Amino acid sequence: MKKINMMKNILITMAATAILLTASCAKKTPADMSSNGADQSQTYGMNGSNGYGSDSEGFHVNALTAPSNQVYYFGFNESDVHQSDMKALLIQANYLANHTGSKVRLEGNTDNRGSREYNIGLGWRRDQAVARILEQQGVRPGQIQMISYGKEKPAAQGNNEHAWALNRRVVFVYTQK
Amino acid sequence: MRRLKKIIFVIFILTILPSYAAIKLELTQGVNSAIPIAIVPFANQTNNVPNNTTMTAVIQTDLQNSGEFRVIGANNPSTDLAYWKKQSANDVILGKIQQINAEQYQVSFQLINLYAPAGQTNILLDQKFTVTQSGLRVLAHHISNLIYQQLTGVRGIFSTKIAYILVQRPQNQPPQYNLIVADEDGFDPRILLRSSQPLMSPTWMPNGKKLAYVSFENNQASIYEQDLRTGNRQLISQYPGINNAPAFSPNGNRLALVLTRTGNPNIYIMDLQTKQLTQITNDYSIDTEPTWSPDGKSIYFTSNRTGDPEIYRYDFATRQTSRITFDGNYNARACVSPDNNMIALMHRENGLFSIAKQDLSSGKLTILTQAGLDDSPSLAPNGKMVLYGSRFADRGVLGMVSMDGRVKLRLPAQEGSVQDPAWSPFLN
Repeated sequence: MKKINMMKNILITMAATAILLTASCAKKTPADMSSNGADQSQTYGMNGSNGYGSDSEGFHVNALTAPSNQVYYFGFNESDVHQSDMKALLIQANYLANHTGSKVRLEGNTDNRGSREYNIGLGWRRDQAVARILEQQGVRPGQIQMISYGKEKPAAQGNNEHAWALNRRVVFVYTQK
Repeated sequence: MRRLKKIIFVIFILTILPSYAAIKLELTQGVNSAIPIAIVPFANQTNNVPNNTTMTAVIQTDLQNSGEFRVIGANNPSTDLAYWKKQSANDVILGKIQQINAEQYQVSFQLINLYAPAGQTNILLDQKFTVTQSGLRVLAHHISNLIYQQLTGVRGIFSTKIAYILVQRPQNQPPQYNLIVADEDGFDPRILLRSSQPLMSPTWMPNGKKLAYVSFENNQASIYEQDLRTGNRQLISQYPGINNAPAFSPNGNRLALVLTRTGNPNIYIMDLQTKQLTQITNDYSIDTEPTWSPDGKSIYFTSNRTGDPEIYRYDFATRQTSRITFDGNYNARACVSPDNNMIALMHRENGLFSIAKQDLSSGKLTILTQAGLDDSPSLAPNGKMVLYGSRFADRGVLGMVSMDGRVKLRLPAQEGSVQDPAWSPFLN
């Protein structure tokens, strides 16, 4: 099962790399970088308000351009990156691998159930899952900073499936582009 | 009296919190099978005790909330012992307040047992104190301690403090995280630290003079140690990755903590003098929430090495680790009782998180709370009560439950959420 998934990942990586090469080559002017400006002021941590780049449910919609800040959501008690996020993540991975001076911070978060300190560990697991994919793509460990907030920094308030789903996330922030 | 003055001095230096952020203790579940006691209003007492109350109102609340006492005939001024015997009181407290000058009051009280065997004195306590007006509340708690200890044989916790995190979420503004220390009954909250980034895991140094906590300021998890009197703080740990779950050893010389120096969360012991680290666990699993046994010979911690979080004990002498919890599939964040016989912990059943206790010799687990989202248990220094985080009306509140499960109390903030509490050691 794992091997098949790995194969899939590799195939997706190759496909994404191809997309990225065309996309990023065409888009490497300072003007274009600044046009991405709105993306830098993400709505994460804003109580799930429906600002720029969120769907009707309040979930962040990841841009398929790099460098752009991202949010990856996770299932209950899970630390595997969703297949549907792989494309966006691999685009960022490729950018980071090709721009060794750029840096990213991964902020792992959990929903508000369970022990505070144990949840720090669970948030960390999610960071690790994202970092592993980045490193598989050639991103250097020194480019990745990881922090886990556990359940201490919720994006959405409330005790319901929707709030929990919004909070189980890794926020992917460029600290240097 | 010297001690009382010292306590006042310590809290004086810290910032006064706006009153809207105060928390107030509310009894939510009482008991019947407790010692019936009559607290006669002290002669000449007025509402001049801080928080606009009286000496006997403070003592009454203390004793009632402990779950060990049932206060009868409240506010009845009768000093007739025969009357109180007829009301089936076991003991009576009588007292008197005298203002001796502009600043000072003399307070005397007696604890009288109504069923003393023939030939034995029925006056169990008879004491006199001199305090300033601002010290009247501190003194009332002190008297509660004396009565509690005399009648139960156990040291009272009415002069202890609690640390907790207050989170304020003003609309359309970033949240504010406040580290606060207040009296055990929620009175007199003082801010030690305010941050726009999360604060968590406050923990007391065994001498009660410092707190360690985790701060996420500058997007970096760090453990700090802060002096309660001066407010000065010192960085203890700021390794890349997790710096979490600090816990002082009983002698205060070492700190157990969680770091990700190997990539995975593992438990380390730091010598606080040399800052030298000893790695205790070396696993791929999440190992966290170390807590010391009272003799300092072992630590209990949470690990998901079998897939789900369970409590384990590591013995320093043998370097052996043994599993402690087996009930259900989520047991976490243990706190060891001062007599080393029990742990209080988090337990999940049917998706609900409760505070539970487990007898360490029999292994029997007993659930104490049923609210569903309870976390962060912290034992009173006399082992009789557990303070924990809970939710009520969609806000974070603090709860207290007696270890026998009979008494429950709630401490909500008037505004914002309160969470992540830690009960102080005895402070005098």
